[in-house]
Amino acid sequence: MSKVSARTATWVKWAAVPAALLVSGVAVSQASYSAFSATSESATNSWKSGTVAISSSADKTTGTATFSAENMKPGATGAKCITVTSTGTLASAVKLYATAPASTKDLSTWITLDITEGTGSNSACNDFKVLTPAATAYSGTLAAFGAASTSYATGWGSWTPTGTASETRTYKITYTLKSDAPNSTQGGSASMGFTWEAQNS
Amino acid sequence: MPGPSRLPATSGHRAVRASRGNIGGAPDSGTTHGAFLRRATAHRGTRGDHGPASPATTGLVAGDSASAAAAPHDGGPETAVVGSVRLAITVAARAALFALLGMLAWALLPFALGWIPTTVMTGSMEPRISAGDVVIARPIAIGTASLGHVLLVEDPDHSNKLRLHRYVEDTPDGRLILRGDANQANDSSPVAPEAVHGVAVLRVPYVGLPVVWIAEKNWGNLAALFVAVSALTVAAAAGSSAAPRDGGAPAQPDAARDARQTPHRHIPTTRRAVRRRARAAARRTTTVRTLLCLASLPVLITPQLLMAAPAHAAFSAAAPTQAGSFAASSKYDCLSPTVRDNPTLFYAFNEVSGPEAVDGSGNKLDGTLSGAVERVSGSCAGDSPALVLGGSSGVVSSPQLLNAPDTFSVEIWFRTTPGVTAGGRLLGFGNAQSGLSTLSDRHLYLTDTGGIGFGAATRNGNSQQYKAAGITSPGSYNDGQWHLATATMSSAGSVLYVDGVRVAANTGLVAERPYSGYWRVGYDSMDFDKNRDWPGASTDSFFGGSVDNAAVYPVALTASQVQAHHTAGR
Repeated sequence: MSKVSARTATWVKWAAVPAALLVSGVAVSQASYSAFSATSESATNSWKSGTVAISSSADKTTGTATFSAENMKPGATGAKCITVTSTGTLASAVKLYATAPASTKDLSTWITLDITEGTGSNSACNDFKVLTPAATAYSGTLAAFGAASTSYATGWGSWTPTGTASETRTYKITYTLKSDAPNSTQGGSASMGFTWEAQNS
Repeated sequence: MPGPSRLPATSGHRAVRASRGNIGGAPDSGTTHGAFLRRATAHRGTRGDHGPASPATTGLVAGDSASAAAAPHDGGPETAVVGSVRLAITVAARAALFALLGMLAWALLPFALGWIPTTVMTGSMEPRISAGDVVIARPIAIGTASLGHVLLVEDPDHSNKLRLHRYVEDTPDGRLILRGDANQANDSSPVAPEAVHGVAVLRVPYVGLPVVWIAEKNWGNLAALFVAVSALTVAAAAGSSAAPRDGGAPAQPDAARDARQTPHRHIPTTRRAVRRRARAAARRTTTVRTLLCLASLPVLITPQLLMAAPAHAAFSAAAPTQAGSFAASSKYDCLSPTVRDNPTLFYAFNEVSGPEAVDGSGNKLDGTLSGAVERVSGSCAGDSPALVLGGSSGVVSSPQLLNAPDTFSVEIWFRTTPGVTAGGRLLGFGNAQSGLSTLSDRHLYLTDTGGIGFGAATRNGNSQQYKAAGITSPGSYNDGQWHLATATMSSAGSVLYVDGVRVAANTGLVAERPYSGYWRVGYDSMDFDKNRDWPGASTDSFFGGSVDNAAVYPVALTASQVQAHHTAGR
């Protein structure tokens, strides 16, 4: 076994300390540089720490509008069931909120929305079943939903996928033109996008 | 061997004195001393090479202060060198430990500047920032954040949490839109400028991992970390205590000193016993150091927990839909009242806007609104849409000249404005389409006392002169409620109904003045040949209130028809 003189050994042993501190400093500065100086990269969802992913049966990209209710008269009603699928690997909470609400002749204040969570795959709600026990349903006007639920923070819904496997939930959205809709709403129009967003919890 | 070990000191001094006394000369004390030293050294040599080294040797071998305590005992040629492998291990362990400490310092010291250390809990900023990093945010003035910077903000989606995302956009109302680099979309909830805690300036990798593990209840990783740090600590500590132990241990000099001071108790101590004691003492020292270091581990982690508030924030994924669209029918059927009994004209006032009063009779006598007229919207289920005639010249006129009929019915729903009792003209015939008519009659009006009046110009006897004649209701209807006023006229006379009920009649009241004019709802002259001769004629020539479903029939409605109209409602 090769030998080192004790004096050298002591010197080396203590020299390790400032060297280590220097290394830590360099590590921190390098880490900071790469973290904050570079611009955002295009996103992928393949990071090892897991992710959340969500899609719906009425996705924007598939091209079908959620609702297309024409020629509505007071009392007119309809329903649509939208199945949302979570394929993330992290536990998350899913919220539904409105995007780009628009209305002419104040029509949106005279359309009521009732949103219920449940199961079923038929978009016309033929096989829809509410959850047992039933989660709190949303009931209000289209305008109120569009004004109140504009982002994840103010979104609506009780679904919390565990992230361990793919899960689905069906949202039944019922709309009704109130029977006391005034004559001033005749010829009015309204539109609103619905967005389901998952954030890891 | 008690004698020799003690003897040199005393006998040496004695020898000096003795030599002085005995020889009488001036002996070289240095020589004497040197002789003593040599003897002493020689004597020590008999106890082995673990005794205290000579001061000269000590100074050469270990000159630095750190090993000064152990140095005087760090004697022999074997102990003056250290195994290079072991040295490498010690140095590596120290380097690792101090690098760790350095990182912790980086993570925590900025706190003293008022900067905010944050433990990143999720990977939503990957690949730039990973879970387990500690990121230091420097507080900035409100509104001074720059696009592209990574900001530490109050999580808009979860109260009492922090979010560390990149600032990518502004909302029109001046709030900030952030985005996790690993997310496919911007955060849906904008952040108020006041919610920005700071801009991230330092990233200390990995040091927050224990916090993440605690949050994840990943006890396995924590235990592994604990073991690793323990091992490093032992390795680093072993390096500093190994040399003295190898060369006689720190306890050895104590034993030696004890040996000098209390010779009788310790002189018999064997070399093996001394070594055993030394080893035990060294073990104790190492154990204590290790325990101290291990105890310091939680101390190292705790500040992270307390000071580096975790930044959650999260991965997000959104599934937007195409906008749903809703379009109301351009005409609600339920709002078109059922038109009964073939009227000449029928104004339901159900239009939403515009200057036109659509004639529901099918005769296309659409009226024109002018003056102080306001539409009130209504619905099928609630109040029907109506028209409010302001307190001035609000009027709806039929479109073309008609001959004044001798047989007809006029009917109108009206409601006084609550609190207003003044009367006025509700519906009648006049020879001017707008402004005041010079000839007007065949009209329903509200008297100033709230009664309903119906008047028509009749012949004054057999002359070609006409006079104002009329009938009025006994009741009062200026109560802010909707009422239906109906009057029928034929050669058999006139009947006045209110709310479908006959309230007045006069067989002699017939309309006889022929002229051409227009049916007018609301404002028109209440004069007759410049005199207010109509019974109960109101002071004002206009009605200030609401009207609806104004109709003119070419026949005298029967009582049952009038009743049915009232029952059908507005």
